[in-house]
Amino acid sequence: MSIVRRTAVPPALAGPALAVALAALLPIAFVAIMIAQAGGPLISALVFRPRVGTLLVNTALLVGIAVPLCVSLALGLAWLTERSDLPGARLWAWAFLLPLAIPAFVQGYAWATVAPSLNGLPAGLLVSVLAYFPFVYLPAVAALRRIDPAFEDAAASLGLAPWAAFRRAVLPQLRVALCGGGLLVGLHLLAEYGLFVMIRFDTFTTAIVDQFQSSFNGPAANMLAGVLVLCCLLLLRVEAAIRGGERHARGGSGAPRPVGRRQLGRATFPILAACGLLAAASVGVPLVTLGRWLVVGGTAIWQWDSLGPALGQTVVLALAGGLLTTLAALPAAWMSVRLPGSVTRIIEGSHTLVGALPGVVVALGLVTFAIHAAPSLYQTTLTLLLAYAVLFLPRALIALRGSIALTPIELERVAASLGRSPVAALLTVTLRIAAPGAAAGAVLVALGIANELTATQMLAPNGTRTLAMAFWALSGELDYAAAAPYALIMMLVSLPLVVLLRARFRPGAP
Amino acid sequence: MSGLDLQGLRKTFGSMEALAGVDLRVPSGSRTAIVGPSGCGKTTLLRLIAGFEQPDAGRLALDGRVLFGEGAPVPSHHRNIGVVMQDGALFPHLSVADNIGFGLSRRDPSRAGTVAGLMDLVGLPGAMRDKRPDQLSGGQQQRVALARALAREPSLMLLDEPFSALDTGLRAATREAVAALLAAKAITTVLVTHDQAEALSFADQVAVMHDGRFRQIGAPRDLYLRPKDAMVAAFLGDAILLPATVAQGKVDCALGCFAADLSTDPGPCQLMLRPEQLHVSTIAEAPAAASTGEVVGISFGGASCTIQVRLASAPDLPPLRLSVPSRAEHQIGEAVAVAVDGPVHILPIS
Repeated sequence: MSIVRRTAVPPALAGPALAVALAALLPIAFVAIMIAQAGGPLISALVFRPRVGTLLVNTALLVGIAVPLCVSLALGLAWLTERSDLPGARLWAWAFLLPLAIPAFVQGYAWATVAPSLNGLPAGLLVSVLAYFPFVYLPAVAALRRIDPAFEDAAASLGLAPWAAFRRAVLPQLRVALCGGGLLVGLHLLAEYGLFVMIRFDTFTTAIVDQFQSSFNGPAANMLAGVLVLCCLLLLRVEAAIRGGERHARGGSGAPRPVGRRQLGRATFPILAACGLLAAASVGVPLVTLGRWLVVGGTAIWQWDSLGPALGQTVVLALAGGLLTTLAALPAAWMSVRLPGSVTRIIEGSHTLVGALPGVVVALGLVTFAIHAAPSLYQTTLTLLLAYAVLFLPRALIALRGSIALTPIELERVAASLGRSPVAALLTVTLRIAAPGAAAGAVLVALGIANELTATQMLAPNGTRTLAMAFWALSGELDYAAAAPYALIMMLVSLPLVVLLRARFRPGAP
Repeated sequence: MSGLDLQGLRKTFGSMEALAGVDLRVPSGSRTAIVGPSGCGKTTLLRLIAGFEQPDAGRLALDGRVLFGEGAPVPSHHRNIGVVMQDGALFPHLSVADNIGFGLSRRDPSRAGTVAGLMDLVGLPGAMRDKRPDQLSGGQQQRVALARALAREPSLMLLDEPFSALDTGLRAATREAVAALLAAKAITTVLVTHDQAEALSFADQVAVMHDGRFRQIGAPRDLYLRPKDAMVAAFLGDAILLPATVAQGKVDCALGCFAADLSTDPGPCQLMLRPEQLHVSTIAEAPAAASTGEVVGISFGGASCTIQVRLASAPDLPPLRLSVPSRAEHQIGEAVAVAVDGPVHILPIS
């Protein structure tokens, strides 16, 4: 109920927010410049060729089939764990979130070693659904919990049988959550590199990396990147159209009641078996594969003189990136809470839009930028951190926005009345209160960075060897046993992510 | 046997007994209000009638059809019982018209006409049909919820504190409109509320609930003037309780001696008076039977004041709290006369 007055935007905050927005747009601007410089004939020669057609078909089939699969699977699982008497529902809920701790390329590595003949679209679909369905499951569960069971009661009193009541009274209210989760899966599918290389399925992203590795920063890579950006924008449009413009405000506030759970009856055992199969495929296969390689490798694979530095570099990069990204997102986050308006929306939009783009595009843009505009930045840690900041801005922005919104604006006004400047009030009052949420956001970013492969490989200075890079190099040489310790450490490092995400999607969380 | 018939309904949640054996008859076409303090089990009872939850024991029948107690319980969507909940529970993803038409077949060609008729009936302008629930005021939301429940011509209408979220002025108006509408359509109705004034004005029959049991069921006037015990008396309005003794058809208390019902057992008891039965005057204007006392406290409340009077005949009793017109301008320490109007009511000692 806080009324936000139209106040002048403090230049101390608007300046940085604008600068960050422009910096975020930098990589994509350079991709666009490269395409424009190539000229019409070259563009059509590079874009309208069978190779691009194959990639388009592959990518469209992948996204078009895997996303609906993930959404329906996640919806069914969310219903089972939240609304049915499935035995051990709480344990299953954790089991369905655990794939979040397994980097997609480790999932791909596990399946490629279990069934080396797996390849092509069916394999790509199988592994990507296993790796990404939790992205929909998590918001679906959260939304299902927020919906007052009174709606189903009301539908029942109006003559609807339980299934019809769920379909007509509950499902439409889940649409926003399901669309958001589906969009996330789609964007990840467009951006994923390692998984599809492991499973030998060509998408735009794998093709761009190939192109980059063979002809460096040629127009062909940029052209493919341009098409990939268009795919992302199309996906965003499609999601917005399906989601619709409406927002569902919850009507009234009845006392929350415990939800009645449906009895599964004779279906219990088949459903338990299916859940077990899913958990075995999504978590069991990677764990067992990893375990097997660890046993096969024995102590020889624990070479701490290379594991140690890789872990150290990963931690330093992740923490520095997390901090930088959070700081970069701060001005825009503050503006979006305190000064909503069209200018803020544009700045915010440029923060989040670029974050939706695949790492390969951002990396390509930054390489181009460094070569053409700032050669001294080429292959430096700074450029790499910049790429991380651009890629993970949305995560930091969302976490900061939520925690700044928890601080009443009155506190900033009181601080101002006591003589603090707006920036000082922000730093000493709002940020002090928002600190836990901001820290959680920084950790989320750091965890994302720790498992980032594509942009890291393309931008890291010589001598850099993160866990993901080392894992990738070793598994690329088919030394699966030596790669296993790296995968294990990455999964252990990612476990807090599962706990953090689950906590954030609790009802009542910011 | 038409109407709603409940026999021995019981329900426990864990170790908490929400309903401890409830019997109630609601004649067809009549309105019954269930009133009681929060946590007394009234909402649980409503949910059992609607079929959202099942009782542990008992029997529940509507218009001769057994809904619970013989064979499998009838599921809520086959009961044809309309429900209006406290916050309306309007579907946020549907427009006003789609909310009202939710229970009607979507293939029914007369659906739009029925919805328009219902909107008219509950006093919603037709221009609102495409609005979303969050664009409506609280009173309008409750009207939509009522129209939605009426659409299926239910054999019973359950109202769960539907007016409690509304502003005071709107509340009385909405309540009167809803009561008139349900009476005109002769729909059997059960209202649950914690507001005694609402219960007394809305219903033909009032049932006072406490700790999972009905303490008393009867016509509103009967319950108000002749409550069975002090709890019912105090719950339905301000009550003045005085220690008294019954002997030889008379009841004697600090305010004097009154005629008692001949059936009353002799011995100590409690006398109950409603504040409007007591009249305060100056000693000079006092009728012969009045008692005298002293004003020991005044709190000004606009049109009327509450004065505290210590009776000369019983200085040890707590002072009586009486409502008087403010223009009487009583002073602290002033001697006043208190006269009793109308029959007195005798309660057992609690």
